[in-house]
Amino acid sequence: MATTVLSISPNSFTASAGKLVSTTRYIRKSSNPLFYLINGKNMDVSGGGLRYVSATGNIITDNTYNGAFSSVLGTGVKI
Amino acid sequence: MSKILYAEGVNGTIAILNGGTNLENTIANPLANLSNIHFHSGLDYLRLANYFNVNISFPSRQANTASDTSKGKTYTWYVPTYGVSTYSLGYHNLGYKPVCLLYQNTDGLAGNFPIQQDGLSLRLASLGINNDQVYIVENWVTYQNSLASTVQNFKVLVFKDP
Repeated sequence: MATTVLSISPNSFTASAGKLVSTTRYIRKSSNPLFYLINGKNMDVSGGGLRYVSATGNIITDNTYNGAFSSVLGTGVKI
Repeated sequence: MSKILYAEGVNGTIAILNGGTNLENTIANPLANLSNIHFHSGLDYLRLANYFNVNISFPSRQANTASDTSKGKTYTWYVPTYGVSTYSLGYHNLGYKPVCLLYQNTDGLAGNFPIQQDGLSLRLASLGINNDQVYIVENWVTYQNSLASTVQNFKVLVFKDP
């Protein structure tokens, strides 16, 4: 595999010395994702308190937070 | 739209491109032409090496008080209490620190993230990675309210270096 440029068999597709192998799983963007990656600010401090917003919009706020921070939906990925 | 499979035996370049693409420019400059590329051997793809799906049991963390007695009267007040603990998620045994992605349900988790909060008491978790394993680092602080024990599920994708 170290020098194989392109190999196609009934069971697998291999390209570029194993850089792309059909039996290997790769992470990729997806509209039907396994999970969402955070792609921006997701925590805020205000009034001495803290707010955390997950990549899917779940909010955890402590008792003293007095801001109005809301994050955006993260980037969906799957393998 | 048609697809083009390009293979160059001289330097081992392989690419799968959209038809109608400026072939020479796209092959030579993949990062500037990502919208026309489905695969290019010049790009570094993250390949899955391992996957862990683990439930971690975090113990209860008590809030503490201090007290003092003066002139026969006892005064009690809350004091902040904090600590750090680690919990193994699994051994990847890659011999280097790999790229890892941690998530709960469908939430990707980055940096420190809160897993429990009660009043001013907070339990944070973050992903730790070394040459052999991945683990959770718990940072906790209690003030007035104790934190009950909790079981949290974590999933980790471990990727090979390109």
